[in-house]
Amino acid sequence: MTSLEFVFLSYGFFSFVCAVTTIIIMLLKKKVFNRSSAHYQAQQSD
Amino acid sequence: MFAITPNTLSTFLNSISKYIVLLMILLLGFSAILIILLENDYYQGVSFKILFIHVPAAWLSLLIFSTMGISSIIGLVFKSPTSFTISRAISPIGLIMSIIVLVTGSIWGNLTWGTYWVWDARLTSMLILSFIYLGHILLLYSFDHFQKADFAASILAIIGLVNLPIVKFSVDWWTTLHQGSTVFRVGGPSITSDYLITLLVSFFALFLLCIYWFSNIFYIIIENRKIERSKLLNQ
Repeated sequence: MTSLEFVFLSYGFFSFVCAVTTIIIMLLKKKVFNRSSAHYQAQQSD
Repeated sequence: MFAITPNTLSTFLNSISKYIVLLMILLLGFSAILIILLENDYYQGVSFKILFIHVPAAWLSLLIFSTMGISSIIGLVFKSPTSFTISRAISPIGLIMSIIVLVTGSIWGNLTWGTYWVWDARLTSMLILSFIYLGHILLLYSFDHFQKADFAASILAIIGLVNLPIVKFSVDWWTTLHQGSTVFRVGGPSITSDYLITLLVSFFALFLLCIYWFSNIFYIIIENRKIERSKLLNQ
């Protein structure tokens, strides 16, 4: 591999890690938001 | 920090979240342009461009651990739930930053030293830091009750603070393959202003990304606790 390819590998790894982390956090946030909405709706209907 | 409730902090972070994202995108774009436009280093060629992710991630992993240690001390001394929650929320971000440092450092090391890894003082102390982050996260999820977990993890974070000066000064205390400090050193930075500006822009972009992650993780922890508490009260 050339130096430029290693640089791309570094930036690619960095971008991948950042993107995956952001997606996981967003999915967890959505899940907790839905869980919270469902919980409070159930509470109101009781 | 101990007078603010976790709910207040979560609401505040959510309210500024969109401005953080906007500023982060602008800074990321600006730093990408600067990195592309920068001329290659005379000695290292194009490989020096790894610096602009390796160094900001290294600074952040140390900064996050300092914050984690200080908030653990505040949490233990003042029994502050906000401090413990801050510690809990930033720990995974610190682990991610330390992994980025180790991986990009290995790639850079292969290009400049001809090897991916050496048991050099700086590299080893950084590896220990990432293990402490991992241990902290494992401790947080090893107990049934979150208050016990917060206590145990805080003790580890406080003990782990000892490793921070070792990481920082390892290049001065021992003969290492890793280069010495170039920015935070006596006599001022030894890199040129165009490199320094690009480095600082990259750092602030990554810093804002960490703040964005932190605000969302903090929200997830707070909302989960609210639901659990509400369920317990209804039982």
